[in-house]
Amino acid sequence: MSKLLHADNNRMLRSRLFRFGMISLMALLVITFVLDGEGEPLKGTEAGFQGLLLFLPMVCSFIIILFVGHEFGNGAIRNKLIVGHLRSHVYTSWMIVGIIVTLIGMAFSAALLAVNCAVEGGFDELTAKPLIIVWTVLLCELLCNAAMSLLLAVILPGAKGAVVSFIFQYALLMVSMIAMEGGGVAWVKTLSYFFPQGLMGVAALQAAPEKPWMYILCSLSAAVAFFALGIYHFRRKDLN
Amino acid sequence: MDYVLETRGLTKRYNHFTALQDLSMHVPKGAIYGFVGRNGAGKTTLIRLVCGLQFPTEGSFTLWNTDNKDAKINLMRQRMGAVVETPSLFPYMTARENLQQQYRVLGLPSFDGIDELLALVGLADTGKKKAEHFSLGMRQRLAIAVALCGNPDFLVLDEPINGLDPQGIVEVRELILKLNRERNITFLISSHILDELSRIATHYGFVDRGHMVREMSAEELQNACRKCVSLKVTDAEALVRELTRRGIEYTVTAGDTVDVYAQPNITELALALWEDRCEILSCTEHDENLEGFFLSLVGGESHE
Repeated sequence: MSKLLHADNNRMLRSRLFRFGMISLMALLVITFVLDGEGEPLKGTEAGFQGLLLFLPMVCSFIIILFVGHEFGNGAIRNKLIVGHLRSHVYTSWMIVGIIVTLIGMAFSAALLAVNCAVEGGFDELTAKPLIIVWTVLLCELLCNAAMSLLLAVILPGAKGAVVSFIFQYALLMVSMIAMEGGGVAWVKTLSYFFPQGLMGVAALQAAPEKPWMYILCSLSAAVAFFALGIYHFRRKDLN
Repeated sequence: MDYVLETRGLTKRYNHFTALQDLSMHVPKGAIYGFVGRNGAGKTTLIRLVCGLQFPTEGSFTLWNTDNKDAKINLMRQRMGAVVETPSLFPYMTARENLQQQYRVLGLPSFDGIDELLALVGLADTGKKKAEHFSLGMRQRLAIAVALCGNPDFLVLDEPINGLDPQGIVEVRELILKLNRERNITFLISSHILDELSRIATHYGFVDRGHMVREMSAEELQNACRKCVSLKVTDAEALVRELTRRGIEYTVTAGDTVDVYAQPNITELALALWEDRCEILSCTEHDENLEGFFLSLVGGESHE
């Protein structure tokens, strides 16, 4: 398992896909700062955070699906199974790499938000408690997003999975934006328990959602369910 | 005999299509086993099962006497390498980087041996050229090098010369022979290019429509394909006595039929046999090559 993790991590961190994904994420956040920051302290940073809720899950999802899909596409996955690696280990290694990608994406985004906050001012207004709660909830929901993306990657490897992921992420984005404009709708609120896009209407940098434990519990449970389902499916899948 | 791979009644079904049906095969240690069959006969399916890419519907197989349902089968798989269908490579990596990646997958402590592998497959001077810019022959050789990482004892190659130019075919053939002789690596090679396979294989398995039609050694195949005159007689013992007296090589293939590996004077032979009241009922000349033999085994009609 550690061998696989070493190999997968190495491939991910050196891949053009990962670098391009992270640069795109940073670029999208900077555009959000520029478009929505209007000189008031924390305004651009808050807009950046809302942008992060939209773009980070999408970028992480694409990276995970294309990273795994690439192994299916060029047959490199065979090189792992032929030499005796267990399928559950192969899948777990992908999941861990997905989590690492998510953490790196979060770290880059947080650093960029901090830089923007320092530039436009407003550091004094930030308080630790809501920040920690919001970022913890976000992390759990991103883990759920990573587990779901990986499941999608093994069910529909390659471009098909990426297209389905894009449609799903885009639908979530639209639903969340419409719900944010039109007020709370019950089933949209349910989405917010599982997916970062749903947090748009209910959380902000300085405003933690009500009952955050509920978000953490729901998203982590869903992540575990997606992970278990993914392993179950992958262990039975016939590969070419 | 020591077998690296043995299958017993291996069956694989995809919904209503049966790709392999009750297939049993035996790959001896140190052999170059040619797995022969036309397209769609089930060769690649068997290889996928052996490599753990798919699961048998029924039946089982053993690798070094370890059953496929035994948890230790994954340890046995560490002793094998394979190239299944297309070369499994990362196109944006160089030859060296592809080998380094496989070394990491295998958990090898250092990259020692990569230079030797690259030299072995003739890719030592590819430098920073990415695998996506390699010719098909180069990719095939790199895939073999990836399969050779970790010094396997058993190498499975699925149609290794498909799409290669004559130079590439010669290179892959010589590489296989070299690995078999110098490193005593056992090979399972599937192919439908019989002429090429006949230059290297020591054992054969002929498969058709998912069934193993026949397994034989290269020696047995050579005998079966030798030019001979097949004589059907009323008294085979009399014919055997006469052939022995004349010092002519022969094989009794059925109770009343004898294959004679020479061009005897049939009139003289018939006169000699008549003294023992033995008649020649029929006389047929056989001159089969591997292709002819294969077609005689599986029938000539197309299965497509």
